[in-house]
Amino acid sequence: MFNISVENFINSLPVVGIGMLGIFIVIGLMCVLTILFKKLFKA
Amino acid sequence: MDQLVQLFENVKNIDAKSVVMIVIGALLIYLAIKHDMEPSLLLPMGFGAILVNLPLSGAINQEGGEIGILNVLYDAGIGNELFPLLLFIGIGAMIDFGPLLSNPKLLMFGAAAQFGIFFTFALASLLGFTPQDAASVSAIATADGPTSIFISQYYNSKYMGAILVAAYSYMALVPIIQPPVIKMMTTKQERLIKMPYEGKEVSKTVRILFPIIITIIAGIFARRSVALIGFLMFGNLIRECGVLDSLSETAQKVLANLITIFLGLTISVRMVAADFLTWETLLILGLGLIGFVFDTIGGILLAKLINLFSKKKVNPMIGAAGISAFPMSSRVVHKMGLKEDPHNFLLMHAAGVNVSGQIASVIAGGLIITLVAR
Repeated sequence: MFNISVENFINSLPVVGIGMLGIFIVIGLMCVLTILFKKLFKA
Repeated sequence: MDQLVQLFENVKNIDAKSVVMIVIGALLIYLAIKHDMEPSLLLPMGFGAILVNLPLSGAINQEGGEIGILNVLYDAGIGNELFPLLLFIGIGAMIDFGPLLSNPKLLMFGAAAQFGIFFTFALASLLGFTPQDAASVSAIATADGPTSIFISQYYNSKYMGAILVAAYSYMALVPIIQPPVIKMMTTKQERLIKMPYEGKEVSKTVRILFPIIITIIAGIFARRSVALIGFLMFGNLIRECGVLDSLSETAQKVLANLITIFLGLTISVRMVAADFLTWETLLILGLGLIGFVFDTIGGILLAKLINLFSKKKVNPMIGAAGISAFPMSSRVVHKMGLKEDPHNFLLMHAAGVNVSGQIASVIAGGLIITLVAR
């Protein structure tokens, strides 16, 4: 049932690291730009 | 006499695995109707599972060149990722980003609550899944049906049936999955943190610019998510522009319902006994649950981290609403907040985090398919 693969796990770590970093960078940028546009176009 | 024998010929083709799948199909229908568990998807999936597991079913392709209508629909709408994308237009038209735009910093909780996707990817890899199948399985933790379909179809995963049953079942079970995790990860004192809602008004210009900005940024950094995020944001744009009310209404109701009917039924092509009744299906169900749990943990941990440095405290429970199961997750957090303190209304904050989770889950999905080659 389990085919433990340490190699696959180690190879997955860069994806995990870059993925989480990537999502924070992208979302962070969206957050900053949204705040900027809110200041520019106040209700 | 020969014709009478012919009538009963198919009976000998009934096998135990198919019977089990028919029972599973009936169970999904039962859960959908009796317990109101994501009925718009689980009922068609359940009925479709029955259709495809009947012996030598005419609904799916058979040896000898017999074409089944469900395969025709599958190739037309899922094989090319069309149905989930069209559904996303409807979903985008349904979302109100107002609570999020009132406080854009809530976007960060949506990002943190995608941790479960990457954790599940690592765990699935450890358990022997290929990177492509691990990426498909991790899609369960996006807590989003169209994104799960998009990713598992991108990798042409044979586990799509199990992935989608897991995804939709766990989305419906969020009120059961999240509360124990939230209680485990937070103290009573933290759960009592009050967050008054200031409800800053958001201009129509910002509401219109938001979907456009999101699409451009997502497109630059996660190009393979452009279709997903673009269609979601297009739906939102036709809602917010104010000049396309009939299109918005059509997207929210007619389009969403039409696609949902086809989607649920067609996904069942992947629920044939030979593909579904494997040990890997059980493993996938377990991994999916772990994904949801770690999504919840990720969101809460960010809130706790912020509280270490910020004077204005955040109730960590709102981090849990970053899971993309909208609006279930925000209601769970709001209810838990009221239970601790009947005067603490967390709904608007939780709703803001919840819709940010919708955006973040699509971007996380796009990043996964960018980082893991086909």
